[in-house]
Amino acid sequence: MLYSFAERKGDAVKGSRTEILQGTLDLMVLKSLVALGSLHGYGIARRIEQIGEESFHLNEGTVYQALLRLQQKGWITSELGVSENNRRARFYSATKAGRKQLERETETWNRVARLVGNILKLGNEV
Amino acid sequence: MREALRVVFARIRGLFGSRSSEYAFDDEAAVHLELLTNRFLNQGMSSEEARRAARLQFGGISQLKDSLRDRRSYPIVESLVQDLTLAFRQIRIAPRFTGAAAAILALGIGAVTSIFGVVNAVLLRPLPYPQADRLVWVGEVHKGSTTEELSLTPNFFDWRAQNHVFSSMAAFNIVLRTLLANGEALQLRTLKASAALLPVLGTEPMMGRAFFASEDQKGQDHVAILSYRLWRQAYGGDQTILGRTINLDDGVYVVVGVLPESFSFPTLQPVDLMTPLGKNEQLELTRSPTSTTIVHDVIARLKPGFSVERAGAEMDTLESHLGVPALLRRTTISVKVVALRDRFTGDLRSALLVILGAVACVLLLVCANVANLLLGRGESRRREMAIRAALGASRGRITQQLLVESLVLSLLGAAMGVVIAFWSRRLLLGLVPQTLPGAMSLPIDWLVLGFALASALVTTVLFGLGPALGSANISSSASLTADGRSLSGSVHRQTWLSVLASLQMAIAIVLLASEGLMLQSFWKLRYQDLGFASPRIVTASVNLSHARFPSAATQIAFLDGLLGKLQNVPGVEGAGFGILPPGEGHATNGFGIEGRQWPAQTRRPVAGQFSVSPSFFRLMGVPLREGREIQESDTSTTLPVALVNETFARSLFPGENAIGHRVRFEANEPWRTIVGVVGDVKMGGLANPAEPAIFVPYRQSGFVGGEGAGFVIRTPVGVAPLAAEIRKQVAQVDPQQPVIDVETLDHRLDDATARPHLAAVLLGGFGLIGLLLAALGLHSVMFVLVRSRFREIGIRLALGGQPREIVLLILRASLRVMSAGAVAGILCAVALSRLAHSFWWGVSATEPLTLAVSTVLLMVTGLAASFLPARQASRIDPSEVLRTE
Repeated sequence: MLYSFAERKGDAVKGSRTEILQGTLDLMVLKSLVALGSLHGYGIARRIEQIGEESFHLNEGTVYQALLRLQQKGWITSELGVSENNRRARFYSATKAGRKQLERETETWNRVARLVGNILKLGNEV
Repeated sequence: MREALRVVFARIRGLFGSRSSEYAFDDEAAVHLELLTNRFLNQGMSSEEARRAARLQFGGISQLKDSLRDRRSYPIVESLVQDLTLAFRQIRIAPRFTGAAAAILALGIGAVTSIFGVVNAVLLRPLPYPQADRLVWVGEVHKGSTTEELSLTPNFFDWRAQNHVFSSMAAFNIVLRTLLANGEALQLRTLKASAALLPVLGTEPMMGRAFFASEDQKGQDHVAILSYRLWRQAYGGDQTILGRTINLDDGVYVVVGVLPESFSFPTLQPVDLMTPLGKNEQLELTRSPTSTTIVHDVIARLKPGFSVERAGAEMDTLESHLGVPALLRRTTISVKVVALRDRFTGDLRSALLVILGAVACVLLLVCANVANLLLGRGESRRREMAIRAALGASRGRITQQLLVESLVLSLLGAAMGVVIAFWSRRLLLGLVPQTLPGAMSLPIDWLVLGFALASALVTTVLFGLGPALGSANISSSASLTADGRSLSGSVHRQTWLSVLASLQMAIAIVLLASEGLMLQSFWKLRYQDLGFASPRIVTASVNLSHARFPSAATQIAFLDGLLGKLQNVPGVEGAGFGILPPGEGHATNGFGIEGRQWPAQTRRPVAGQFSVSPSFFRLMGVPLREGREIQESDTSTTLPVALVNETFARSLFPGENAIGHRVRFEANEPWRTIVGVVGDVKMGGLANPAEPAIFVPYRQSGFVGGEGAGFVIRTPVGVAPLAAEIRKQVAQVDPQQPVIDVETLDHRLDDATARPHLAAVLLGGFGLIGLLLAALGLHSVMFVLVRSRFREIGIRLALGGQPREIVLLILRASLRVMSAGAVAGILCAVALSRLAHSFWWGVSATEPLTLAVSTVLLMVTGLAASFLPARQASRIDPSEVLRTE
């Protein structure tokens, strides 16, 4: 499962400006990699910033924690390449297992979102 | 689930490749920061602002690195590896400390492991049957009594048919029988057992087959199964043994099977041959008083899901519904179901408790000693830890490092301890009485190794944790600046050392006192007044079973002939026939007294009933209290007479003279007139009081002999020269009569006290080790105390103090430490011995003499141990001390 909301206390980098649900970050990182193919950490941070609207503040370092988690689960893989500033950098891409996982997670997420949405709507009608 | 496993593998991989990936993350972070900075520069910030904004947006890089490192592999493993390296380095740096600590640990762990090896071999090893924990023993007992455990055979048949709790049940009786093999008469302990016995125990014969159920019937029971030992020894391992006939004294049997070598019957002494139970089941079930026989042991296997308690409850209900005729029914009888294992170890629980207590004490002493060494190690470690703390090591990290060091020490000690235990087996085998089951070999099995390991872990925590926490607690700056010699720290440490030394004294006193009680208990049991004089008595038994002697007359003729011959053997002062102490069982036989009626449904009095020769009491040195002895003239044709013992006379004829009253054993017997009262002789076990007993002349007995009957021969020459001569004489009277157990009476008594003897030996070992360790502990503590008082002593000497005064000063200090320990120890010993009082026989738990002797012994040893440090103190050169300070 991606959204295990608090895996381990020590994992969250202290002083992050906004509490981001860890699982959510993992999901966003995986989604970025599936959507855009191979990216390095900076690229992923930019992508999340792009789609994350203004309210979403990210300690970009935490992206690397998400990357490690995903990598250990075997959902993404990495290789060395050259960055736009001409430096050696690590590029990540989703594996087949990762794509499948994203599909599963997306479905679950949608279902949960629908459910929560319905419940909240119910509240409005009363 | 699969992901979780993948993560574990990834982290294990991380253990090996961690370094390179950490560098890679540094690179990654640098690239990321650079790109961020460029972005902010492009947004128009100054380079300084851009860099700061980038760092802010990225977050704390060092914390991130820590978190990633923790997650990438298992940091605890990495740090453990690091600590192990450090620990081994420490061993190299301080070989003397390591050697001393490891030697003490090895001594302690070795000692407790060796002794645990004995406990393991004698008490703990599981019975050698598959799923032995499902096996139970079933018997009928008198309510409120643990004796008289027998069952009526028809009840057993009913139990077997009607119970719902056992998957199978088997009964057996132990019978002494004579086997004629190769022209030699062998006395064997044999079983008459249900065909179900081997299946219940989960065993099959190595060769041949088990009994068929049909062979349990009387008349079809002439088949036999041999033990491996008998097969090898009497038949040379003959492969063609199956189908051959053998001659037992009650008939000819066909061998149908041989048991495996590893098998042993659930009996206290080895059994060599088995034939079917051979009862007439139909007749038994009619329960006519004349046909009802007894089975001594019933063993059953619990059905899955049933507990021993549940089975006991069920059997109680079943028993109360049995159609037992009123004549046989006794309301005072209940059924007992116990685990087979408990049936064997019985009363050993308290022994185990005491020995484990002693083990714990010795381990505590070891811990205290090593803690002494750790505390006395000077300031070097303290400064090292302070430096580590100053360089950023957390308290937890330092504690872990010190604990790992302690663990390495313990494991080193445990390894050496196992070696010691292995080598000490030979010594222990010499000390352990060989009659105890399992004591023939003392295997070092997994349980023993596990015990050594557990001891190591426990000691690690005990001796390592305190000093480790203490060291981790020091504030780094204080220790570094004050040069590690702050006065307060030193005083604190001295207090700790003194407390430790006192503690060791206390533990040693507990150990010594326990040993003192055990020794006294054993001594009293073995050398109590048994009512007879054992020196120079040799005993021997013969088989007087019904099968060999169809009538009392043939028994009497045999005894007459044999006693006559034995009297004339050179070196024999006298030979008699009677009961051989100390015996095992309790009296179970009812009897009648002329003119008295026992009320119905009450427990009738019982008494031992023994046939003796006229010379028996004289040879045994049993005093005649009243009346006359049995005489040669008391024969089958004269007036039937009997002697009773003092207990009998006192309990059945209180306030009157027993002589002249008449008694009998069976309703169809003539009355026997009591003609004399003899002193009590213990025949129901050494630890039990003497029971009422009736003695009749064997020439007037309806049945001579039975278990425990035998010859007593008074001789100054001892067993060895006599044994062959006794056998020769017996063979002359009856060539097919085996002679069993020619031994001295003292030897029989030794056997009977084997267990308390063993306990005394083991506790003695603990006591010695305890004394040694306590002395060693005090010795090293006094050395440290002397060293820390160098300055004071130097000043005293410089001011004109005499060396003798210094010695006294130090000895006084040591005495103070010891006294505190002694008081605590005595209190503990009293409390503990109250707890385990059932373990000591005939000894008051708070024996003041024992405590006093232990205390004095310890004090003297302690003073001797402090003398060396004291003398060192008196030889301090004052000028040198004052210069260096």
